Amino acid sequence: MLKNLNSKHIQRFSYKYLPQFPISPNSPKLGFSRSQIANYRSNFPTTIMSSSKTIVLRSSDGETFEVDEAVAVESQTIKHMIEDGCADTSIPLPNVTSKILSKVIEYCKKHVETPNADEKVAEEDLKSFDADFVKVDQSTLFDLILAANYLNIKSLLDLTCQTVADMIKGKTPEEIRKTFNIKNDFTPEEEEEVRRENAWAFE
Amino acid sequence: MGEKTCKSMSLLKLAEERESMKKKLDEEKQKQQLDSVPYLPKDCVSNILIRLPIESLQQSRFVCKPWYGIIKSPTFIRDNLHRAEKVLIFLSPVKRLSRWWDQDSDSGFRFQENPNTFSVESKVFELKSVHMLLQPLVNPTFKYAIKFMVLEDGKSTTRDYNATCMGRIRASVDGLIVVDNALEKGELVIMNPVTRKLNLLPLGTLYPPHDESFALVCCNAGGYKLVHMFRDESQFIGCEVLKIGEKSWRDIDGPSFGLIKWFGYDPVFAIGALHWVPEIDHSEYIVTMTIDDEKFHKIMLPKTSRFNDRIMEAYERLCFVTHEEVNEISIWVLGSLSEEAWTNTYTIAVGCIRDLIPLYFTRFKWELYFLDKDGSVFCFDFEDQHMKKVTTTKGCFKLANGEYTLHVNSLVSWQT
Repeated sequence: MLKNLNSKHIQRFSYKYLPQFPISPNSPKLGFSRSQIANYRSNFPTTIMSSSKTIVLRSSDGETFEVDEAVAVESQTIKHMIEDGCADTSIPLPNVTSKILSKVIEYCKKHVETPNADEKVAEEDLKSFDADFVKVDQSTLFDLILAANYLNIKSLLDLTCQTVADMIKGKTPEEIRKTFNIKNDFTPEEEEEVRRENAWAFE
Repeated sequence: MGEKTCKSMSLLKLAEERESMKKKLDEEKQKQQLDSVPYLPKDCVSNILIRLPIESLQQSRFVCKPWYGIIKSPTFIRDNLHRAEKVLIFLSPVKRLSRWWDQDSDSGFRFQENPNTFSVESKVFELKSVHMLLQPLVNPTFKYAIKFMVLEDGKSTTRDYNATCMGRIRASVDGLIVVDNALEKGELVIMNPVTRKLNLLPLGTLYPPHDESFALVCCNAGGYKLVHMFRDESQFIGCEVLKIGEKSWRDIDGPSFGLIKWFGYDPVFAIGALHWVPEIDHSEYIVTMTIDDEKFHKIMLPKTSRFNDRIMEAYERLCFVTHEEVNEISIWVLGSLSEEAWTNTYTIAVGCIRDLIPLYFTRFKWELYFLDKDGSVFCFDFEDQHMKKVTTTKGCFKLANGEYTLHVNSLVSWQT
């Protein structure tokens, strides 16, 4: 039974909270089950909505999307708007196009529908969904980052930023510039000087 | 007649070619527009760059000026530090290419196997403005390469900083290390082996190496302190502290007479204090110095610490990993100095663990690494409750007890 140690931990560990010490499963007083520990470690609380309230979201190009409130509040931005009472009719999202908004909603739906991240099958399923979700062209990927940032959806932001980071890994500066269409604003002399003064290890 | 058709044919051809070229150019333009990535705000770029390993950060620095600025900024460096996993830093003797005295004076003493090799001693001479020709010829027998070992995913990898030094690594915290400047007795150097920023430290009290202990710690208010404990001939333990950046050491009251009998174990920095295990075997207590007020206390251990037990920092708590009588290891935790007693949180009872010496807990996973007496490393995974042997790549350095220091790779500088 080979365990893939790498994939197991990607989204589960928040760098801010590694709350408590590993608890012995045999310890009588503090016997947390594995799923309890997993839930404790999970860094975004999933609220279980009893009401079937729906929220209407309006994209920048005027298209409307009706979603369950449970799905909509994956976005902290939308959650705060609802709490502040600005969500009577519909919530306008001027920074998000319909194309991107529909993808974001697809992501949130999938993640809300899979609460028991501890069960093996569900976990693998979610992981492969995430992997396929980011197989888009670069411009869409960057738009997703902007949307996740604006809508404040931490897991989507983590996923998309990690994808871009993986694209950067192992590339030379020129390759990175080419991939992301970034203009090199260093003059050759500036670059030379900076490289000379800041020679790090591993170069 | 034939000529005219030829000409019109060629004109037609020209027109066709021009048409197809225009089409091509238009397509490229469209493609460029589609490919052109939208502008990302700085915090998004930061969020992406923070996930890169340090080698990739090095390359990313030179992509453009905004990226350079982000990577240089103190908040980025601090966040990067908080995501850095522990590694083991150690010295490995530089392999000699041939007998040094056979070579002529020029090539014999330059061991630049890699043009980017950084020599601590050369940098020190540079700082002291000693001209290269006046630098003493160094016997390369005593040169060490600074390397580090990464334990991850069941594998152990050794990597090189491409730096050499001749003295010992005395202490490490937050990616900074204190190294001997071996060519000047008692002189110490603080450096970050990744960024290669280096600085000399003022001379403190000089003592023979086996009777002293160093620790580098970070202060609550920011900045770093170097703590030096030593024992003189009358068995009196002296202690001095240097705030990095200041020009002289400060003497402070050491622990009570007779409290610490042995300086062999590296002090542990946890829960806002430094902790020493005072004896090589059968320690009943640990000696603790709180960083802020620099006062010494004695904390009783929950049970006697033997030669293969260790205290260490884990998940922001102080932890005591001890072998029980039967083939078991129990883990005790002290959450803070104000806590009355240690809590027994875990018992490991798998595998043959009698000779295993605890190394460290990983920061972001629930794993504890052990060192066996033959140099092999084992990893206990708290989730799987499995003790697994870590595989080494060919030619990997085998750790010997006491020859490594716990370290993290970071871009931190001691200057606030």
